[in-house]
Amino acid sequence: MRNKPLLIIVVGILAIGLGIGLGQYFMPEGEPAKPQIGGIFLVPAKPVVDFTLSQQANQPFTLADLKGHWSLLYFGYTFCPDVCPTTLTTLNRAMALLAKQGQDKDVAVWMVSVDPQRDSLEKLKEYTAFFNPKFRGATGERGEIDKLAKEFGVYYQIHKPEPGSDYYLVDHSAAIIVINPQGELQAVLTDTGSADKLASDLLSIKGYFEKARS
Amino acid sequence: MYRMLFLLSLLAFAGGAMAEDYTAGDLVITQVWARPTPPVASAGAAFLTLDNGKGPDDRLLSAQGDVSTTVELHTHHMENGVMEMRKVDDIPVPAGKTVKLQPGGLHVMLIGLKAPLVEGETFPLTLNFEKAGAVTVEVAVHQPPK
Ligand SMILES: [Cu+2]
Repeated sequence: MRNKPLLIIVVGILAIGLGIGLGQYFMPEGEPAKPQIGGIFLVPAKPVVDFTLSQQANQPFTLADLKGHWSLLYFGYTFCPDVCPTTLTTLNRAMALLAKQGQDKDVAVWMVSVDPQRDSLEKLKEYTAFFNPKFRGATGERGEIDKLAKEFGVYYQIHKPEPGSDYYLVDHSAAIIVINPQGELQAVLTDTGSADKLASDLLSIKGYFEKARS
Repeated sequence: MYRMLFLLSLLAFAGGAMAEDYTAGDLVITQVWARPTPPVASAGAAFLTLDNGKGPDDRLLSAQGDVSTTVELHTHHMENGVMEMRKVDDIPVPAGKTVKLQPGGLHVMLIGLKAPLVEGETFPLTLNFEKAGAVTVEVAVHQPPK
């Protein structure tokens, strides 16, 4: 039993080695080098299950809305005083940087609220527009939010109000989900602190996608 | 000449963007600011830097203001990529240390904003320290530095 940690390490190394080997075996020749981004880049991109949320009254938000262009999804809530505004501000600045290179037109930004109890569609619309008039908000039934969150590896937890207070807090993943124009999960960006980094990561991701298709 | 300087200082004030420095006992309080909030947002956060270069160990016990119905001291933890915000009882300001309340970390949480925080405006906030006592600062509302 004493050698168990060592065994785990050895098995781990073998598994990683096997994984790399298989990856190279299956990688078609001429595939562009994976972009180095602040997060996870998926090769191949992962298909996304269909879902039904809402972006406005009587206007659903489904997988079809994520096709034909790039989409950046951020899961948060409007009661969030710091991290959500910071990320949306950074996204706005990153979009301005992309615009300088004519690379912003095919990128949509969505904030998906995991807190539909407090975030009405109307409220979300105004909230996202404050950061950039093109940013959109969506939310919906708990089951559909959970389905999408699970699909992207997004975690959140809604807390109960503390005794004596009438508000509650929500823990949530701070990552930005990148969906390619085929509506597939292409990347999860976790390094979201700088607009420069975000913009350059998005350019790398888009560049890879274009090259891989040509 | 003094008159000129006085006028200049008035101008700087009117600019709104100038962050003022404050002292409370031995503490120096700088970079007091808050991000503008969307009109529909019910919560906001204020940030500041506490420099305790000269004094004994101190603690920020609470903050209060009319800007929101509730004012609390909060912190953030990043756990495996998940951002967790929590209330804290106080914020220690050890002797010889500088403590920053800044985005992604410690902040004064403003819950139930009575009006949106508008860029270029300021609002008063009273900070209560264990040893340095109470001091009222003007929080400047502006975008975070890039
Ligand atoms: Cu907070």
